[in-house]
Amino acid sequence: MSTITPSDLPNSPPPTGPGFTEPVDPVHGHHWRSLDDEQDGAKFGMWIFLATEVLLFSGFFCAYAVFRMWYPENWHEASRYYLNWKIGAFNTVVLLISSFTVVMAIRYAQLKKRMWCLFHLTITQICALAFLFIKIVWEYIPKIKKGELVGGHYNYIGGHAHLGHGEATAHGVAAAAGHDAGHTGEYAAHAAEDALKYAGGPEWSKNLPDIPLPAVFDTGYHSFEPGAHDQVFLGIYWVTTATHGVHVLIGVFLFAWIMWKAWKWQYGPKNVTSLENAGLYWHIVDIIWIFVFPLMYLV
Amino acid sequence: MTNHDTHSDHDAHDDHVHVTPFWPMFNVFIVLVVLTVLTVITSNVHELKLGNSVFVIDSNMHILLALTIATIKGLAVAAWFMHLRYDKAINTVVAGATLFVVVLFIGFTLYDLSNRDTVLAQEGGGAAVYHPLANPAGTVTDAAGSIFPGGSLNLYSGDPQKKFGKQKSELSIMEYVRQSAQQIAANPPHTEGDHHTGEHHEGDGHTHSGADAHADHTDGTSHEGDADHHDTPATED
Repeated sequence: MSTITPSDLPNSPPPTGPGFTEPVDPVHGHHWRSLDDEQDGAKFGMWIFLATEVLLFSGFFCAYAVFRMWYPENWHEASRYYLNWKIGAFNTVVLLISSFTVVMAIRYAQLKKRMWCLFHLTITQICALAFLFIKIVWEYIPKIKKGELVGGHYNYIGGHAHLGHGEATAHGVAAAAGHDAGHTGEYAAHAAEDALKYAGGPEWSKNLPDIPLPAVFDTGYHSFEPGAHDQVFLGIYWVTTATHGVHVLIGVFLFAWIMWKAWKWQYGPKNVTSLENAGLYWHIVDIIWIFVFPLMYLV
Repeated sequence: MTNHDTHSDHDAHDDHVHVTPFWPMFNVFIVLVVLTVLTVITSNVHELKLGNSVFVIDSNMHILLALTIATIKGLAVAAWFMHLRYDKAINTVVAGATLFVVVLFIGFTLYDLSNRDTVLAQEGGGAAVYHPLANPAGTVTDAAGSIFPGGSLNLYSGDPQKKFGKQKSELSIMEYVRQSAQQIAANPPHTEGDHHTGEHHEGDGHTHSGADAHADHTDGTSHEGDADHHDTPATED
């Protein structure tokens, strides 16, 4: 800053004009014929990117479809037991709300109502974080602790038919194992200890926080028919939802940037392109979840 | 590249801004929530009584219903929230092409995998339980003991020369299928009980029913190659 502007002086009135009290004037790049062309081009490019995103997830859906075709009953049982449809449905609505608020943020940016735009973007952020919180705290962490993991890391003791008996916790199963083996006293305790050692998640997962599931989310479905292909279902579940979750996380950072731009009066009736493109990204993440939810949680 | 003059009418639209409307968007949002509730409800309905007739909704019908509702929701999001209704048609073309490719991708994969045994039945006759390209010398079973329909996953894991005596690339597809089907005809599917994994383990109690079990190996096929593919992922204690 080599020059001193009035706003740098003490007791001067706050700056006014584009970028301070009204949207900045959009200027198109010199290599574009018009602002319209530039914005259409940006949007078209975004759609090409969205196509690659859809194709990325279609690979997961294809794997899902193939294994569901081969093991329909196993899929049904695994979905009912390992996944909680109430959490899935709640998260679906959370994402729908966030999608709607993105649309409203665009509307209020076009109407030059900056604070309304920021208000809706804040709700979007809260929804995105709520989605991730619910997913991590009540789905991922309990799954890691129980060893309901992806591929070769699948180490869920409930998966062994002769140990299952509807016991959901590793402790219960381990005790049942010791009892089933006809052992008593110290020997049974050892057997249970052994079973515990080889059941459940990795050692480090013991330190993860254990926040009990709110009663509203309890589906009351605890009976367990172990299937031979549970780990396949869980593998597809983990890869699909974790990839989706990473997209949600990226969306959180993306919208943090968008909110900063909105705060700086960067959006107006003629310049909402980056907001619109971020919205397009968010909507495709929503659409993917719209398909993941019934296929994973309700099948 | 393009004639700039022809686009003068395009510039006239510069001042026009389409402001995202509130009510249509809100209505779409409500519809999306209602459809979410509907998809949860339909997943728990197993019978539909209409007058005297009862329609059974099986798991395949559930998938179909869920996918239909999800597709409607997805299209609604794309058309309204993603502005395809208000945008240039080129964006819809990209979205439509993507959808088409996805349907092609998943549809043909399922069509292929669900019809391989039909090819086998026509060529080899009756051996539709597992398919010829999988593992001609024995069944592949999974931990539950059921025949593993994905036996084809082992298709290229071994050396085809060892398995079939001829490079696969030298065979036409139908020749390949025919050859494999003949092998199956000569060597009907085993149950898990007489799984001849005992090739290299003497005294394991498995008896082979004479020559017919290995009749297919007369064409210079080495049996060593097969042994690798016999180990089942079973977790018997």
